[in-house]
Amino acid sequence: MGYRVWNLIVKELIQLWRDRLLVLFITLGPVMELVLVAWATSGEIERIPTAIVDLDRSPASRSLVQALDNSRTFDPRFYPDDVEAAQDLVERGRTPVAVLIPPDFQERLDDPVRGPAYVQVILDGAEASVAQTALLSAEGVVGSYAQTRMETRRGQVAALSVPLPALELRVRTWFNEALKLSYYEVPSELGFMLIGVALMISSLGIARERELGTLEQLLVTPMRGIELVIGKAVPAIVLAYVDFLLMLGLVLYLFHIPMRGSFALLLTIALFYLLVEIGWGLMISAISRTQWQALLLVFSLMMGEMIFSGYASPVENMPWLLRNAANLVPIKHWLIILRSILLKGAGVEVFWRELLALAGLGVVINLLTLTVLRRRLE
Amino acid sequence: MNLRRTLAVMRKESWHVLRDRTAFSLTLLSPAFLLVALAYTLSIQVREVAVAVLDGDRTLLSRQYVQGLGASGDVVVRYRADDYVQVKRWLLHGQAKAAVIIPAGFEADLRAGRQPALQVLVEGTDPNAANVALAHISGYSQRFIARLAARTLARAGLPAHQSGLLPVELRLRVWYNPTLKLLFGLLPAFIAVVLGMPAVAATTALVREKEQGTFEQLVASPIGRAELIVGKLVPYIVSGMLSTLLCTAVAVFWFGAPFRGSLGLYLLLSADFFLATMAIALIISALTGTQQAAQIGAVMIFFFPGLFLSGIFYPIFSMEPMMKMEALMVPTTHYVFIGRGIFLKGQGMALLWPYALALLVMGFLFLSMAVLLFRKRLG
Repeated sequence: MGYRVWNLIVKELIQLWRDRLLVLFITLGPVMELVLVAWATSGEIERIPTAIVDLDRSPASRSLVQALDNSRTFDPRFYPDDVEAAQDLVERGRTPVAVLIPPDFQERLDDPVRGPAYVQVILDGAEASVAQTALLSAEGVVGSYAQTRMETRRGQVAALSVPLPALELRVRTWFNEALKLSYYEVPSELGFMLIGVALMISSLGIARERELGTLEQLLVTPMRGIELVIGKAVPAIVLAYVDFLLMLGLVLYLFHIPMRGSFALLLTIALFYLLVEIGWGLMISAISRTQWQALLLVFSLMMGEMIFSGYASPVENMPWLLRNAANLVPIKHWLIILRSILLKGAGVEVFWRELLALAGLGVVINLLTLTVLRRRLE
Repeated sequence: MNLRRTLAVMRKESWHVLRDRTAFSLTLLSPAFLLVALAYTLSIQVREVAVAVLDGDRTLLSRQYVQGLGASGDVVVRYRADDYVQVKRWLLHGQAKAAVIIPAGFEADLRAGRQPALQVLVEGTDPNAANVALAHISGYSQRFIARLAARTLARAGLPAHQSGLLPVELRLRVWYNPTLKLLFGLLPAFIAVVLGMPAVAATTALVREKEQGTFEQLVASPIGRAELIVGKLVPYIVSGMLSTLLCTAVAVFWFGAPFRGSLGLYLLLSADFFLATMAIALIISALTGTQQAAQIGAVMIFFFPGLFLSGIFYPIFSMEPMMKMEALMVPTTHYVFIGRGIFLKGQGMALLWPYALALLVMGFLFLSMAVLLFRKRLG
């Protein structure tokens, strides 16, 4: 058996060597993509071009504009004279944010009896992620601006000798002290690249033999189903693992994501995780008739895994049924483990549940693949 | 270029597409399916962030504070801890993204005018959720104290507005998307991403002919290069246009997105986009010899940059100059601008022409490159 499997592996490797462009795509493609994607997404959204319509032109309004400018999020670049001019700027896509300071801003601040002072923020809702960042940041800037105005007032009121309540907020952030977005995004993106590559390499193998008619030739050899599976899985795992190592190197040394846990533990779990995903890939390979079908199935599976990975929409907030269904998705457990090892320096005692789930899924998926393959091949 | 021969290739290719019913329906429907999946996966509206509370005071005021904390729906008080160890475990496992610890003597200190310290612990591995939780907790605490102060002053016979303790109000107006639904901004952009699918299908079909050896037969026939290319691509462009209609219908009728511009213009500019992506598909298929390599290459080129570089999540203006250049070389980037302009802003050619022109230039540039490559390969 070992001999026959070895022969198949050698055949696969020769085939790969002939198609060197494919090897290049597989090994360097994801790495380059990761660099591109991580660079594009790990930066915070900042220096948003902002239009300021200052109808007050008072010391108070100027200091508010200054506060917006200091916030890193806003870049007050345009100073249109009225709302219509600001609307034109937004329409042309020159700026997604306009801040309107009404003419009585200072008066109302000084004399609150005239009603509370207000600032109007106009957002381009089409750029929704920018708009949300701008909104959150504007709330912060205006809030702390109001806070400083209040503090000066408080001194005057304190003279009345009424004990005024005050609260201090002590914030401590764990695992990601600066709340850097890249600490979250980059490991997740590594996970998505890895699953894409692993599924694509493993799913096309048997489908290709079938489409080209060479599968029959393999079947008339004394080779058994399980040997075929192993022979197809090994090169796929090797390639995907090399990819993982390259991408991990990038994540740690180019993007400076901290590695706080055990390196050996991560490398071992990564191998097991790939075994699980490649089981899925071989299953797709066994049930699809053409490579095009296989690719579409890979896409569907990838999308499904991404939905339930907890990357974008927290799994805890999903309805009961979906929340439990999410546990059937290997990448969810893998991302939790990856982040725990990298950022929290956690060991098995923290994520043993996820590890157990991964192991269980691996056994079930690979057994299923084997049964399906055997039925389809014999 | 002979029209009759071109039509013959088109007919042959359409037969190919139509004969394999599963492949045809998959080619046609897959963009719409991917759109639904992407919309549910990536519309990151961070809400209801899970928060743990440790109430060390257990007084009327501390209970009031905890009760109001989850009222707006930004955060949800999911866990109530009895001791610090529990809080730590929830944060470590990531079950809670933040924790608020109310010290003993919270109420007494506030009433006496002393400043109690509210401790906020944030689990930072998911900065999006952490930022929302942090912003909400600090904003809520500020408002809580301001209200308390106003009540204290009122009891002392001094209305709050006279003391100037009212904060500055923020009045919001959101254009094009008044409820600031993230999804409405994302849908037109996601359509641009999933409509890379027809180009991937075309790449696969072209390389399949090479792999199975039928390409040589076509080359040996009197069909010219340009005729062959046009004939092969037109069916996929047509299928792409049908998918465009399907995706638009899904966005409007399933997700309730607004469509304010002209559908005719959208289809016209979509054809412009398909021209550019099909030209890239041609280049990929000229360079690769197996379907496997072609598919992986096509996915790498169309999907990941399309999703992450096209300004969908991370705006173009925040990018480094190098990245900005790269982003502008991806056809999807321009198509995202077109989609958002037509869907949400109801824009016409007067504002959209730069993007349309960029796609047209890209299309012809890549197409001529592809024709040259095919000539070299075929000898």
